[in-house]
Amino acid sequence: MRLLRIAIGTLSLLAILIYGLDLHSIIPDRASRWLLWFQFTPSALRLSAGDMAAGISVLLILLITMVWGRIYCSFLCPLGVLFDCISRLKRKRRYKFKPANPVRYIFLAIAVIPLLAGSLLTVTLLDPYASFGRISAELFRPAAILINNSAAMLLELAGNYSIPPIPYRGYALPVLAFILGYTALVTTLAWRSGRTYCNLICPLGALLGLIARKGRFKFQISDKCTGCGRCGRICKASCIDLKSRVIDMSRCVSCFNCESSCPEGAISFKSARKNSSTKSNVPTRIERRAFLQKTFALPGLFFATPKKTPDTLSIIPTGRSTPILPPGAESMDRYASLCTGCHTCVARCPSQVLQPSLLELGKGKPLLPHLNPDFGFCNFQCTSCGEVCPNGAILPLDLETKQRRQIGQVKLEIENCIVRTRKTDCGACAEHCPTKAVSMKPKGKLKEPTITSETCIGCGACEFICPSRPFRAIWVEGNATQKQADKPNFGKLKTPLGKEDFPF
Amino acid sequence: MKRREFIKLGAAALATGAVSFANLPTAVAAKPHDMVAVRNGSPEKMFDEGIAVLGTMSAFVKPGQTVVVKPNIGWDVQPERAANTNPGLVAHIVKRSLEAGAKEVLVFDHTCDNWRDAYQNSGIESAVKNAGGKVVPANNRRYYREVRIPNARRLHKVEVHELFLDADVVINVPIIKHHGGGTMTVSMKNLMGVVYDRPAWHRNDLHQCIADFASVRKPDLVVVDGYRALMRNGPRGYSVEDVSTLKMQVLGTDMIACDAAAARIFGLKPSDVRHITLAHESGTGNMDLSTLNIARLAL
Repeated sequence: MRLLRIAIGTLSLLAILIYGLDLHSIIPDRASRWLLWFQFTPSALRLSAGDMAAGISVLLILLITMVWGRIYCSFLCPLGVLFDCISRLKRKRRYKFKPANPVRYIFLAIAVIPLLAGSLLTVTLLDPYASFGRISAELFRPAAILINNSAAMLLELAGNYSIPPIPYRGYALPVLAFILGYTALVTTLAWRSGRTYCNLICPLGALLGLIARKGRFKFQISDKCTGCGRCGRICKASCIDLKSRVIDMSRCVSCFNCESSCPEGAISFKSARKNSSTKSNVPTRIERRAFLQKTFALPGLFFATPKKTPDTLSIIPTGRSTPILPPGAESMDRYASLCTGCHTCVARCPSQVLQPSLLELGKGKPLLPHLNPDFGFCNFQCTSCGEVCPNGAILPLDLETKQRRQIGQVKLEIENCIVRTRKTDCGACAEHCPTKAVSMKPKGKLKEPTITSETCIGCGACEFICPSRPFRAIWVEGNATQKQADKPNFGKLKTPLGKEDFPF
Repeated sequence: MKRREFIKLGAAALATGAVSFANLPTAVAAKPHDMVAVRNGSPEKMFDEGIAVLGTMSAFVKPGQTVVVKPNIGWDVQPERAANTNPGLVAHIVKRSLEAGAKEVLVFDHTCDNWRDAYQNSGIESAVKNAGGKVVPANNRRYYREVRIPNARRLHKVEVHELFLDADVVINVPIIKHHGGGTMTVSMKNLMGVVYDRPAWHRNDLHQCIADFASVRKPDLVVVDGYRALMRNGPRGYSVEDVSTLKMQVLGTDMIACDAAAARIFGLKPSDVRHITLAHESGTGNMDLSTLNIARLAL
C-alpha cells in the first residue's frame, strides 16, 4: 500500500506539475478537466456554481475519507506530496508524537465563516491546491523557463534551434515577495516537521480530519507491538501515540509508512467496526496565538512598479480604475466568488498578460489573476484561461464568442499620443488592434487614432504597444460586467486594380 | 498595350534568339532589367519566371553561402488573411536557394503577436521546414547587435538581428499590405522585423526610421508577394474580406523601387507613402519607376 501511495502521489504531483510547466503548450489546455477534477476545493467551487460532474469528485473524496481516512492528502493533494518530497530530502528524519493541536479548527473556521458570508478570501490564502498552483506558477515555472532558455542558448551556439526560447516578462514584485515568503514558511514547516501545515493550517486537512476520525478503516496497533518506536519516528503527521498505542486518524494522512516500518507487523489498516474502543484525542486547549498567525497573510503592502524614463511629452496621467478580468469571468462578483487564486491560468497564459494581483482587485480579493497590459495582451486566437480554470471561475468560451467577449473598453487621451506630442505618424495601437476598434483617421498630413467602443473587446494590445511615456495615450478600462462586442462591419472591398494591366 | 506585350515577350529572348549560339547571361547583360513584375501565376511559378529575367537564382546565391529569407510573419493569422507572406512563396525561395548551393537558409521575423503562434499559424514554419530551411527565433534580445547608421536622420543606433547582419545573402520577401501608421507596408517596413526595439520606431517618427534603416543593409534580392494583398485594416486585417487576390509579384534588388511599384499596385502614388519618398531623397534607392528598365510578364 505504501508503494501504491508513493506511485499515485508521485503521479498526481508530476501530472499537475508538468501541466503547469508545459512551456510549449504540448498538453492540451482542456486536460485540466481530467487532471484537476480530483482537486477538492476547485471541484467544490464548481459544484457551488452548479457543475454536477464536479460534484461527483467532491462526493467521491468525501466518501473515500469516510471509509479510508485522509487518502486524499497523501495520494492526490499536490501540496501534500510536495511536502513529502521536501521532508524526504532531509537525511535524518525523526518525528515525535505531538498531541493534537485544535488550532486547525480555528483555521477551518477562518476559512468557512467568511465563505458563508460570500467571501473566498481565506480559502484563497489557505487552500492547498491554490497554494501549490501559486508556487508552481510563480516559482517553478520561471525556473523551468530559465532551464529551457539556457538549453536553447547552448543548442543555438551549435546552430541548432530545436528548442524555442520562451520570453519571460516576470511578475510584479509585491506578488513575488508574497509567494516567496509563503513558500519559505511552508517549506520550513515541511522540512522541520513533515505535515505540520496539513495538520495545523490547512482548512481542508482539518475538514477531512473531522470526517476521518469517524472513518471506517483505521490504522491499529496490535498486541504484537514491542514499543520500539520506529513507526513514531517516521510518522510525518506526528500522530502515533506509542504510550496509549493509538493512531490519531484525524491527523493521519494515510501514508502507510508506519505499517511498512513495523518489524513485527503490528500495525494494520483495517475496519474499525468490530472494536469500537479506539480512543480519540479530543482537543482540550485552544491557543490564542492562532489569531496572530492568521495575520501572516497580510504582508507589507508596497508597490514598486518600475517606471521607464519619460522620453516623450505625454503629460496627462492616464490609467484604469476598473481592473480587466479574463474573458469568461463574467463579472467581478461572480469571479471573486469562485476564484481561489490557484494561478493555473497564469501559468498557462501564453502571452503572460494574465498576472496575479495583490490588492488591485479590491479588498478581500487578493491574488486573483487579472490582465495587466504592461506584460502583454490577450491573444485574439487563444481561449486557454477558460479551458484550464479548475474552479469554473473563468468559463470556457468557444473561439467565436471569445473573439467578441468584451472584457473592457478602449479609452484614448489624444493629447498624450505621439501624433500630437511629436507630430509624427505612429499607428502602433491601430496596427495591433484585432477588431479595428482603433483605427487611423487622417488629420492634416498625419493620421490620428480614433476609437470605437462598441467593437472593442478590451484585449489590451493597443495599451501594451502604445509607446507614449510616462503616460500612455491609449488604455483599457475594465468592464465590471463583461459583454459581447459588436461585430465590426467594413462593407465590401473595392479592388483598385484593373484586371489586365500593370499599374506602372 | 502593344509596347507592353512586346516587352512581355522579353527583350532577353529576342536578343538571344538573334545571337543564336552566344551564351545567354552575357547577351542579357547588355541591357539588364532593374525590376521584374509578374502576374497571373501561382506564387512559385511567378517567382521562377521572374528570377529567370533577373539572371537565375545562382546569380544571387553562390554555393556554400548562408542565406537569410525574411518574410513577414508578424501575426497569428492563417495565410488566407494576407497578414503574413505567402508560405508557398517563402518555401519555394528556400528550395531554390538550396538548389543553388546555399549552405543554410534561415527564416525569421520579430513578430507582433506571440511568435510561436505566428510562426505556426502563418503556415510558414512548416512550409520552410519541409523545403529544408531553418526557422529561427527572433524574440530574444541576445540575438541582436547594435549598429550605428551614419547618415540617419532619426535612427542613429539600432539593435539588429545578428543573422541579418552576418548572412552572405539576404532575401527580403514582404507582402503588400495596408498599414494604419505607415500608410502601407512592403519591403522597407518589412525590415522592422529584424530589429529589436520596435516601439522606438513608433515613438521616433516611424517613416523616417523606416527610411533610415533601409540603408543598413540592402537586401540582395527583394521578392514582393502580391499574390494576395491586404487592402485595408492593415497590417493585421480583420477578416478575409480585407484581402484582394491580385496574383502579382515584383522582383528586384532596390527596395525603394519595389515599394514604389507595390504602391502603384495598391492604388497609391509612391509619393503618397512618406517613407518611400524619404528613402528616395536620401539616395538609398529610386522610386521613379519611369527611369527604370522594368520587365513585365503576364503568365
